[in-house]
Amino acid sequence: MQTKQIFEPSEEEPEPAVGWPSDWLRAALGLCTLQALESGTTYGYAIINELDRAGLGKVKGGTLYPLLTRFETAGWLDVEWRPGEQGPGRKYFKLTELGHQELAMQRKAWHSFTSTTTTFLTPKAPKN
Amino acid sequence: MKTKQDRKWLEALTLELRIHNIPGVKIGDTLATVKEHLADSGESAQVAFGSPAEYATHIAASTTTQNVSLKGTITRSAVGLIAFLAFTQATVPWVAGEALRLGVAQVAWLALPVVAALSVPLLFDKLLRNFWILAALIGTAVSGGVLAAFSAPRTSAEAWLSVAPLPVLLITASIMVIVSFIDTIATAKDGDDSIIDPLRSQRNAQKTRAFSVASNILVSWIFPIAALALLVLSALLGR
Repeated sequence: MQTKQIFEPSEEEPEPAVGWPSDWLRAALGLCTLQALESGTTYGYAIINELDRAGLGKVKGGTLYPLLTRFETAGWLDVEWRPGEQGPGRKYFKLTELGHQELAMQRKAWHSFTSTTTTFLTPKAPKN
Repeated sequence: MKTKQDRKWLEALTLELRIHNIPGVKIGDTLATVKEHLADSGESAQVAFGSPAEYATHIAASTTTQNVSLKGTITRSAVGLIAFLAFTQATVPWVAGEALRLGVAQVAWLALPVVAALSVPLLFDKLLRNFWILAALIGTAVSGGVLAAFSAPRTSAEAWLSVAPLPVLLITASIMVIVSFIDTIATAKDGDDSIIDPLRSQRNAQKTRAFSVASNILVSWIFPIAALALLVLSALLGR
């Protein structure tokens, strides 16, 4: 199946950089995208590169842009189109106040979740 | 755009977004975003975004869609077309002061365009995605109309059914006017839904919208206008 091989963002994206299950990355991608937007105005491909540099793998456009569209619809992002010097224009994204609140809330929840999970995963001596 | 494949991919995406009732402004934004990404990444659209149908589904799930659908507009056009075809059959007999004579074969052939028009809502997605299904449907409708014209009874003795043409004209004209009126209300209520490039100036976009709304309203009345023109022409030639 040609199409399946080429486009299955829910199965194949993002590409794991260090062999993590794609489920983990998919669960964290929304929060990490919000984090990439925290430092200021940025655009789609810059977010992809930042996530890649952070070790999260190269996210496909087919995965990232629907996510950004969802954030925009939720009111977490302000967007602005600017003409490109060469080629097409560029869409810039910026977190709104609501977006910053959402990031803070999700970050806190994520830390709580990973802390609980890490505690639970601590190796224990086998019971006799 | 880099390649012919990418251009075709964008055309297919536009169609898929329309099928999902995504507003024109959002379609323009999505297309521009894809172009930006392709220029930045150097990837092909298929590799970066997958199939147009699946990407459109992801976008539709992430944004708000509009109430007025393309399906409704096309269905209304199909009803208007059936009324117009019936109107054309009754025009000449009415001008000539004769009964509208229908033969069995003629009615059977006329059923083809009617069935074709009524199947539009059911086959809507397939028609838009597959050119050959659309071509077959149009071919069926046109063939039915032509064969009906050739098999029309020439004398009263050949006629299977004779009806007064005036009620047919009045009923079909009323249907055309009602359908056009509904279309006009829908156009006026929802405004223009053209695909707008996000980088176009606001003034240009407003001009495009105003022109598009006016032309959409004109298109909504195309069947009543054509019917009136046919009636006038038949009356002039019939003198």
